[in-house]
Amino acid sequence: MPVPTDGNMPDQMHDMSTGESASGGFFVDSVVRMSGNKLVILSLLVLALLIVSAIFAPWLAPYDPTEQVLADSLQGPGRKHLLGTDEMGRDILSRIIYGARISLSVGFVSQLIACSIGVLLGSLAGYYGGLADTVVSRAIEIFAAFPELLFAIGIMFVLGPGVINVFIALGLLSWTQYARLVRGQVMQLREMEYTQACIVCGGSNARIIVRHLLPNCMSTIIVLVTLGIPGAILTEASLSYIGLGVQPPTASWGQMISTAQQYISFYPYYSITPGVAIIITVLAFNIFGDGLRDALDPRLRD
Amino acid sequence: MASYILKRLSQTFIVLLGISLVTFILMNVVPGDPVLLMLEKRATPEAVERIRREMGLDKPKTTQYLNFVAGAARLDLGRSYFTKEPVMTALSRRFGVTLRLASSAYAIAMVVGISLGVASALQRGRVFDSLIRGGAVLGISAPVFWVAIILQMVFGLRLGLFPISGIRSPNSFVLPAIALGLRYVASISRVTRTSMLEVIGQDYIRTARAKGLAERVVILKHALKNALIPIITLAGTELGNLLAGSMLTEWVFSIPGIGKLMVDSILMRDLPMLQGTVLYVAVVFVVSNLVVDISYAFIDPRIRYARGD
Amino acid sequence: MSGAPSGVLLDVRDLKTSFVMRRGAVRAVDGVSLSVERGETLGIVGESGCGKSVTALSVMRLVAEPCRVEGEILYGGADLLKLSMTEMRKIRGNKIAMIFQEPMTSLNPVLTVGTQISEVLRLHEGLGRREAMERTVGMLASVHIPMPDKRAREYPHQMSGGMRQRVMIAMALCCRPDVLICDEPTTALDVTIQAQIISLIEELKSLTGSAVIMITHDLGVISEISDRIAVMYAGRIVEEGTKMELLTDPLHPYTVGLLNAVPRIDRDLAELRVIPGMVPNPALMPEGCGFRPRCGHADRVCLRMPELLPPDGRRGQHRVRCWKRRAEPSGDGSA
Repeated sequence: MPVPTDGNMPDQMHDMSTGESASGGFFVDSVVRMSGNKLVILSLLVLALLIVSAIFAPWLAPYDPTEQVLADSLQGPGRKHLLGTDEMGRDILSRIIYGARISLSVGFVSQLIACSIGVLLGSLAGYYGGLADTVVSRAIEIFAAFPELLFAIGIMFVLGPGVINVFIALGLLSWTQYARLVRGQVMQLREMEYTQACIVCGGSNARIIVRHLLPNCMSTIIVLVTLGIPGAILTEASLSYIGLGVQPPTASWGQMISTAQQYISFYPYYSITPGVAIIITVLAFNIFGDGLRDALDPRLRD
Repeated sequence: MASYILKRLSQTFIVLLGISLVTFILMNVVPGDPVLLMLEKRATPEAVERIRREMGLDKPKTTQYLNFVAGAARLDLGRSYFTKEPVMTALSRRFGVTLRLASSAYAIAMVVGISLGVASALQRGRVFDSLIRGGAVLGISAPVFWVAIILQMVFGLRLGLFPISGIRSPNSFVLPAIALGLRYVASISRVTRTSMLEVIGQDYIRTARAKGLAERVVILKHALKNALIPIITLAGTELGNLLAGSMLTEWVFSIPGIGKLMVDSILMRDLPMLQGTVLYVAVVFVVSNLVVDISYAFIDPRIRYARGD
Repeated sequence: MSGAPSGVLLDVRDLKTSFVMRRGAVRAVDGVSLSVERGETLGIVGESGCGKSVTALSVMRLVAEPCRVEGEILYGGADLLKLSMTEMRKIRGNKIAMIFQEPMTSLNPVLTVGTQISEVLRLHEGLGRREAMERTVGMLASVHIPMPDKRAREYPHQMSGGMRQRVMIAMALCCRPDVLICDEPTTALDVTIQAQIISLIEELKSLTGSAVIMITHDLGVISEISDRIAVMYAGRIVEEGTKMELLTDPLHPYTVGLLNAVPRIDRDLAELRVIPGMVPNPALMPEGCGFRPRCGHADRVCLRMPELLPPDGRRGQHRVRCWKRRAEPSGDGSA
């Protein structure tokens, strides 16, 4: 990139390095700053609600999400089925609650995988420079050369459908963002006096990276994870929609929309609910992530 | 300037080679024998062996890869397993359709996105600004295919305004273009707003006002041109995403473009066709990024001259 | 236009500018009155944060929102504060022009220098593209930029700071404004360039007959160019007079302090005095005289705000805002 967009890094680094000694205080400060924003608090509540209902799905869902009662199929919302039933007579509300399990776990696990790969490669490239940096940088470029969805489709095509494979595909998909940012930060931090002091004092490389450099990247990483989850959820929905993601009978929002599409002319209601579930979840993550970014690391703002 | 472009071109070349390698690897680790996939179950072992030789699949993987690259360089991407049509022919036949869809969606995204972003920045902190920002987050959070279905339901089925599938009339492109463009309207307007706000605070904007220029001129001539760089960066990346996103939109609206070709070949496990479409989208993506990088130089004289000529 | 009879061109009366913050308004300029005549140079001097730049921006109505500007700014028989934005724009850059402190950032990086100057001419004088460009090249020549026709096609980043400030001056003067406001025009420049810029402003002023308001913290610049001087402190004018009056007979303890803080070649460095303390935060103004916390002479009288008045029993234009205005500041041996 010819545009030095991160030209203002050094002074940012300055106040980040002061964050290290009192990282507790730094995070507490950020949370306090964030709590001023009502929308962020609301999104946090929504997320908590979603996570709780995903965890306790078996107790919260009124029906078994795979239980078919064909006589009750394609019923609109009513007292018996709050959100109606699908073409197999399964309770849509229950399927949505179980679907939250898929979406949330895909979001969290894929970002965990992406984050581990990205932080490892990024910090190695940033710390050692030279050949390591060249290899990682080229890899980032090549990976980033594929549009996300296309890449996910390619991997899913090779691995075959299934939740575990979705985790892996989406993890492999988004490690480049982590690698790119961690590489940049580590590269800068490496030149800071306190890092140089550690090197002079004979601290081992691994120790310097893990104890001194990575803690300074924490807020960046946390923000990236929070903003990476909604993207992963959307990609999973797309994959499941075209039949490459989670397979029936497991309930997943994207795949529900795919089935519901056959009925849009006389039962449009069926298509709407899973879509709304996706929007609410993704929206909550996006708003919370934006708030977190503004509080922790405004530099990441696009 | 020339040396900068040359450097970017050589980088692009390396990335393209990498892409071909990744594509090749992906296609070669797919479980199942492509020849068996292609032929009926009842094919004799001799027939299988003959086809394998014809397709060069008996050669070592490195030779196969070199053949693939050499073929790709000559725009020969093999033939479909099923229709036997050359992949390149299928791609070029469908390219026009995807181009129409993508360019209309892109036009919507740029025009609407930039206008909303500028308006939002100028109205900073007012109700209009909050509405635009809220709408933008909503737009980013909605799955493209779902928006497409909702548009079909409302404007196609309920109101009967536009066709919901096929490409029989120019009207057929309206809903798909909106469905596809909406998400990018959201992301472009967000970046435009941020970038405009940053520029509006600069000294040279105050100078422009001190000259007595009308606010319209200050914004459109002095501010927007400076704010364009982050917008173009995003526009370049989003072009690739838009092409990939068009896959789902084409699928929902049954539009016979490259995206639908790709989904079809996935479902039919038509490897050469899939390989071709993947390669095609990746190349378009890389080339659009290259164009973006070079276009910076034309917008920002500092880059034009800094890169030395 | 030059050689016109003297008369007040711009008359600022009781200007009050406040920034509206989340917790109430902060007053940056608090009752400033000043005027300039044709061909006159008024110097406004003060430390950063004293409100001198905000005064200038208020005259141009360029103070960043959200703000509140009160008082009267009389020009050409009208109160600028009451004009519509459209009418105000006809004055900006045309009748009243301004030069800013930062030549490095005050020019638009993506437009050529020629475009930026000629657009003023096209706007206010209705010139066509070619005519405007010809006049622009002429203006660049008159601010002593070599090869003006080539330079006009260049971008700001291709020029040095001094060169850019010349461009700013050309831009400000191309419509021969009645009033030129210079906000710290030399602060960001090298000392040798500073002198060139100052003499350029002088030269062009005598050519166009503009009145100049020169805002600076640099007493050297002020004493070189001004006919009259106003000293600002904490949003108010604390002393005002002709250059001679002010430099030879400073009355306000702050003015005295400022003069003592100027390093002079003919004096020992040991005699250089620093005014103790800091400029007060506009949100936390002390009661009464703003300079009271830093003043060696302050007593209970100073808890009330003094008026800007002529010193006792004296004529001339000299005015000072101090209860102790007749007191000879102690320890000021050589002044």
